[in-house]
Amino acid sequence: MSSLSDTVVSAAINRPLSFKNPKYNPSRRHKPHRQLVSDEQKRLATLTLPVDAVTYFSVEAYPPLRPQKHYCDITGLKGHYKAPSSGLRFANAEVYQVVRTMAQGVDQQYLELRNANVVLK
Amino acid sequence: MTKTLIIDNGSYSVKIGYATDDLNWSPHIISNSIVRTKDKRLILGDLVDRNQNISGCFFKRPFERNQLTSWETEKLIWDYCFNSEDLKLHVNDYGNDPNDMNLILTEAPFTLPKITKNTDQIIFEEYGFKSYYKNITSSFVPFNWEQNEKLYQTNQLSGGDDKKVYKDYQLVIDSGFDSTYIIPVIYGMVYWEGVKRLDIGGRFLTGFLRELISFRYYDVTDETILVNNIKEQTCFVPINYNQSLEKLKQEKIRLGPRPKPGSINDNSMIVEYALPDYKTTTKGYLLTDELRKNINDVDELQIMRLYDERFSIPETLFDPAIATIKHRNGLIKTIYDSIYSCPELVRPLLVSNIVCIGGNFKFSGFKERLQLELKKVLPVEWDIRIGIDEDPIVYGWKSANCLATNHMEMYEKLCVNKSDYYEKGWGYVNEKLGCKLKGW
Repeated sequence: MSSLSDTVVSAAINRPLSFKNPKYNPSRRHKPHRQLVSDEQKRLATLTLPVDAVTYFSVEAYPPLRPQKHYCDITGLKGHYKAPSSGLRFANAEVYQVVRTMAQGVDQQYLELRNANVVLK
Repeated sequence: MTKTLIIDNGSYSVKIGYATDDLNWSPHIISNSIVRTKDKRLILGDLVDRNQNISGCFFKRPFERNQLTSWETEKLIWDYCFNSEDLKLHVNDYGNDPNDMNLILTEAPFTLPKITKNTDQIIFEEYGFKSYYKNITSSFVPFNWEQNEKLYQTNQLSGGDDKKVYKDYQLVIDSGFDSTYIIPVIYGMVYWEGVKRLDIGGRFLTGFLRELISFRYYDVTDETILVNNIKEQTCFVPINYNQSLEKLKQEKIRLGPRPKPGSINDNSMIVEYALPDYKTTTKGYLLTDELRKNINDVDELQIMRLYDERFSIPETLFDPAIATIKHRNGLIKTIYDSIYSCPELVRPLLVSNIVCIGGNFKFSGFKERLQLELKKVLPVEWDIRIGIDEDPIVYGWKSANCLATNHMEMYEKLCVNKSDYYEKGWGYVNEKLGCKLKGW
């Protein structure tokens, strides 16, 4: 089966296309999305637009007015508190004993679960 | 006769086909991706089903967050669509010639001007279509108003529209692979001031399910296709999230930690998914009562039980806080914002003409939930009518087909000819087809 799909694809990809202009030379370069967006930001900055102008950036859904809910990183209960040393959220004093005596690096593994860990580059 | 080719170029799949009189005909759906398999072969995304091993596939997609960034990839996929023997489109064979062919193309909303320019160049200089019309998918939906009325499933018809080409007021919710857009279309034109985007789409939901399964049961970080299948087959939108959680909890208590065989059936909230064993199945399947009867040794199968993942995943659209990393308004508040940024007079009219397109609306229970939630936030006297087609993926294509078959004279007014492009340049094309916004 795999050889069949291979031949079909290579036929589709390598087949000479009669309606194409052989002299056409595309001078485009692939730009990733991030770069395009920052280009757009720069371009918009040069224009004088009204405050309520619709742009690529203004159509995104608004952040909610209600504050974000936080949960305990260890137990999953409501986490009202945050450990100053590691940034872990915890539910009560009992859990804090666990957070405080945590071995080095373990706190980062807990934070990684909610993408809040420190990434060194 | 000049043929009209319609391409709905979505970020997950290309919907392609010639305009036909048969308005119920569904177009070909081609996966818009190129796949690198585990053994380092490159195949088109559409042929990956023929491949035996779907594990460890890496997808390269021309779309990146709803922007068509890589035409190099897209062109390969289009060339395959145009020439493949499977689809029988034969764009440059059998008497067909792009130089004598109209093209209707869809693009994502707020496509950046640079990318739009690339698209126009490729259409005219590379492929050389005779004439070409491009707009966002949602803008075609009002043309399909007869079908839209059927979708609302109410007997009460809004009168006076019989001779119209399009419906005057239409709110389209387009929930695709990369993001969800709320788009009001007034008098056949997109009302850009009311457009809102929610950055949650099928890609995010699949990714979220993959993380949940990897954290709770098995490591499936490489199995994008498998997770996507699981999502499509098991997920549904709950009417009430907290009630569903409570119901699931009761069921868990009743079954105990090790459910007896036969205690889980089609009526229970818990489902069992048979994972691929590469002997009997390479893709895995959902275990139903019928299958349980027919398979002798159910114990031999490697089974994954899915609990709250089934409805937590789609619920993310309504409450992104579930996924913790997105601090954004949910779908309902975004629809509300969109409606309230339209002129006051048309708001109730938009609400009574809502049509949902895009693959995410294949989740069962979506319509009921939307209806319920919108009722809570909108004034009582407004009549809420929501339409979701059986196949919301191709609904945009079918709507474009309505324009091409029933209203060719309209198309003639809208389109840009190749001769005009060569004479007046890209500025003219952009003026006619581009996004009419200040500073765009």
